This record gives sequence, structure tokens and C-alpha cells, in this order.
Amino acid sequence: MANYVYEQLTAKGLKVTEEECEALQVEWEFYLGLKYDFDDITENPADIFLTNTVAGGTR
Amino acid sequence: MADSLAMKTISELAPLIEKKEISPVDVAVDILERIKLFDNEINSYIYVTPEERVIELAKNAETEIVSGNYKGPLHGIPLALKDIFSVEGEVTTIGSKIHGDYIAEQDATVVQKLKESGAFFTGKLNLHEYASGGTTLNEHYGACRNPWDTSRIPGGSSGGSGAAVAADLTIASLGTDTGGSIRIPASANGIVGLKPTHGLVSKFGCFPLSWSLDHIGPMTKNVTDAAILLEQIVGFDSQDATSIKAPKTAYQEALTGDITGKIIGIEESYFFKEVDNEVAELVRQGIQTLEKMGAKIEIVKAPSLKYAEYAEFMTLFGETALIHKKNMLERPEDFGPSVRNSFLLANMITSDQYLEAQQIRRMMALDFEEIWSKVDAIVAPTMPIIPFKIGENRVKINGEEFSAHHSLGRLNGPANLLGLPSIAVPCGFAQDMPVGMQIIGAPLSEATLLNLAYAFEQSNPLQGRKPNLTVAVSN
Repeated sequence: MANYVYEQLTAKGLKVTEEECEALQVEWEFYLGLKYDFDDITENPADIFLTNTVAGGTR
Repeated sequence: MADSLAMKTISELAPLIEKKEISPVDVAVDILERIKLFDNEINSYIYVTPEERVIELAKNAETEIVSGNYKGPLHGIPLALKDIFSVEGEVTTIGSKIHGDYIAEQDATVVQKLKESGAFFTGKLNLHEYASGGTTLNEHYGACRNPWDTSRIPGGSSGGSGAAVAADLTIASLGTDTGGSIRIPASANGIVGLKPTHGLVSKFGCFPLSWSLDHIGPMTKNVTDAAILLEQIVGFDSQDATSIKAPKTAYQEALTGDITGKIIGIEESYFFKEVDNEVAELVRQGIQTLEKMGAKIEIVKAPSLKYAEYAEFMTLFGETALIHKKNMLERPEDFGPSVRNSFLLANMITSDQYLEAQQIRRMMALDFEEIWSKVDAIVAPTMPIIPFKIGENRVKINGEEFSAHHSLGRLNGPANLLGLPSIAVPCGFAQDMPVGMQIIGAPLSEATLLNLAYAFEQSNPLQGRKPNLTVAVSN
């Protein structure tokens, strides 16, 4: 995963060391974990939120 | 200092200034004196306007008022704003090295509106670099400290605003809030912070962190002052693509204190999950207080809140990565290390992940639409913890260890994702530090939220206590 993080960031031209990517990997995995079971829920594919209207246009 | 004018609120000063019983010059001098005495320790200001200039501005206001041109409650009031709002001809650092010499050519819309009200500025307040963090441990301008305990963080990213208002180093301030950056420092410093409905206050001239999550709002000593400031800064602005045309509302007139029949929602599974027991107890007591005042309580549910943190981070990452793309490629060494790390992480996001976040926002909007058909507001803790010590990276919540930084904003993101108004108001003390509760409402329900907060404020949750700055300085 650290290697993946390194490849992903350097492919975008960003300066980062492989050592830095070790720590970034831990954080990135934490954020991915916050998705829980979203991939499995039946409402998907839901509509997306439009932000230029109040509350996404629900009012 | 006991009778210091700097310790008064806008609503206390305004009638005295209008009746010419005090001069704006006296207020400004008092503020500057306190900054000299206390801000070395607190470090809430990045830049203090030179004394001669502040006096000149105060005298201009005084002359206008004496001439019979009193403009309203902000006329002659010295304010200080988070250093993220452009002020024409002045450096706006955004708490960064990269923008350390940036001079704005035009006032931000909120700055223009405050200038039109007759307010003037004593300086620019510290913030987390590019508003990207909740501690205000600014790696270029020094850490801002909490006036209640200077070994602790003031929250952020509007930490300078929170600390300065609490320490009476300004009468009031404006902050920005992308995931709690008004409400977290309001809670941490024992003041009031209001994040309005998305689009109600123009963001033109305010440096973005995340276009669809950013909001601007008041940070004040009490609820009345928040209403006064909000009334001045709202309004459609064609220069802000997200600005909305909303009916004009007299927020100050809404502050009746009568909340009879208002329905308060309690959402347990997200807003009371992994919350420090002392904090949760204070918020529950706050809800009981509102109930005794005539409100009714109803349990509400929003299953989609489970995914709110993912949506918050992925939306933030997607938008902030683009905002800082050029500088991350060309001069990454000029970001502070922690902010650079955040922006590197932001660049991990894929378009799928960003769009999933927008799907979650839509699901949440539908869940909350259902909630608003049943209740007038949701009451929840603002932060799940009390402000931690500067330098700490881990916190314990009821014996379990969590990331300190992640814990700070966890309860604030939903209101940003949905653009909902939310007001943070003090509700007591835990371990001698102020604790805040937030009152979240339907879009454009600011008047209702302000009145609920105003009613609650009458219960005197801070018991008149102020930060003991003498002790803080001598430490």
C-alpha cells in the first residue's frame, strides 16, 4: 500500500519520499475505512448532491 | 481591567456609543492595551494594526456619530477577523508562508459589509495554515493558545478568533467553517460561533479550503452579538457562485427567549457516539434545560450519518487538492509539514471517491429532510472532547484512544456537507475547560437557532466566568 501511495503521488509529479508514504498509508487506510459498507447499500447508485442550491435542492 | 470596555459585548457597547457616553477611541485603546498585555502568551493576532491607524479609524467613526450619522450597532466597534479575508491594500497571509506577502486588491464582501456598518479592525487573527486543521498550531506564525489554559489548543482553524474573543482582545470576530472551524474554537474557548446556511453569507474574497463545504460566520461573546453580526453580513452576492437569494430576516428581533413548543431532536447513534462522558452529560443537561424552558424532545434517526465522515474527507480532499495543486507541485517545501502531509493525502483521491461522497451527501440530505419535518433543531455536542494539550496527537475518550486531530471535527461535518446552519453555544465546564453544544437546523432556520441559543444562554451556563489571564501570563 505504501508503494501504491508513493506511485500515486509521484505519478502526479508530487515530491514525496517512500518513508513519508509509510505514514501517509496508515492515514489513507483510516479514511478508506470510514466508507464502511457503502459499496453494498441498495440505494446506490444514488443521485449526487448539488451544492449551489440550499440543502442540495431538497427545499 | 475589571471595568475594561474591551470586556463588553457589541450589544453593551452600541447604546453607549450611540448616546456618546463612550467614544470608539476609548474602546479601541482598551483593546490595544489588552493585546499588548496578553497576546504575547496567547498569540491570537498575526498582525496588529498600528496604534495610530486604529485611533484614526476610531476617531473617524466618532466624528460620524457626533455628526448625527449613526449607522447602527456596529458603528464604532473595533473587530478583528481571521486572516483569511481579503482586506484591500493589506497583507492577507491565510496563515501561510506562501501567501505571506499577498496584498489583496479588493475587500472580501464580508469585509466591505463590515466597513459599511462603521466597524473597524484592530488586526488580523491567527489560524491553522490555509484553514486546514483544527488546532491552530501554525507552523509559520506560532501556535495560538487557549486563554482558559495556555497549555491547551484553542481549536481551529479559526483559533485566533476564538481565543481573541474569549480573552477580550477583540469585541467580536468572523471565522470560516469547512468542517467545524467556527464551532470547534467557539466550543474550546467558551464563546458563541454560528455557521450559517451555505450561500447565505458571501464567500467572495475569502480564500477557499473546499468550495462546497466552506462557510463564513460570526464568533462572538454572546448570542445577541452573533445575531447583530449575521444581520450585517448576509445577502446575495453575484461574485460568489454559491450565493443564494434568501428572504431578509431580522435576527435580533427573533431573540425573544420564548421557545415554548419548539421540538428538539436528539440523534444518538452519530452525535453521541464516542463522546467524552463529561461532555455528553453537559449537553444532555443542556437539552433538559431547553425542555424546562418549554421545548419538546424527540428522538430522530439518520442512517446515512454512518458515512458522513467519509463524505466529509473525500469532498474536502477532492476540492482542496485542486486549490493547492500548483503550489504543491512548485513549492511544497513552503507548506508547514503537517499541512503538506494533509495536502499530499488529498491527492490520493480518485474521481469515484469524490462522487461517492456526493452520493452520500444526497442520501444525508434526504434523511435530514425527513428529520426537519418532525423537529425544529437537533442538539448535539460540538466537540467530543475538551481541548487537548498542545502537541498531543492522541486523546482518550472514556478510556479508549483516538486520533486527537480526527476527533476535533467529527461531529461538525454533517452540517457542512448539507449546508445546514449550526450554532455552537457554551454549556458548561469539564475539567475547568469550557464545553460547547451545537444546535443544528434546517436551511435558513438561523432565526430559530439563534433564539434557542439565546434562551439557553439565559441559564448562564458559564456562570459569568472568564479566562484568568493574569494567571496564564504569570505561568
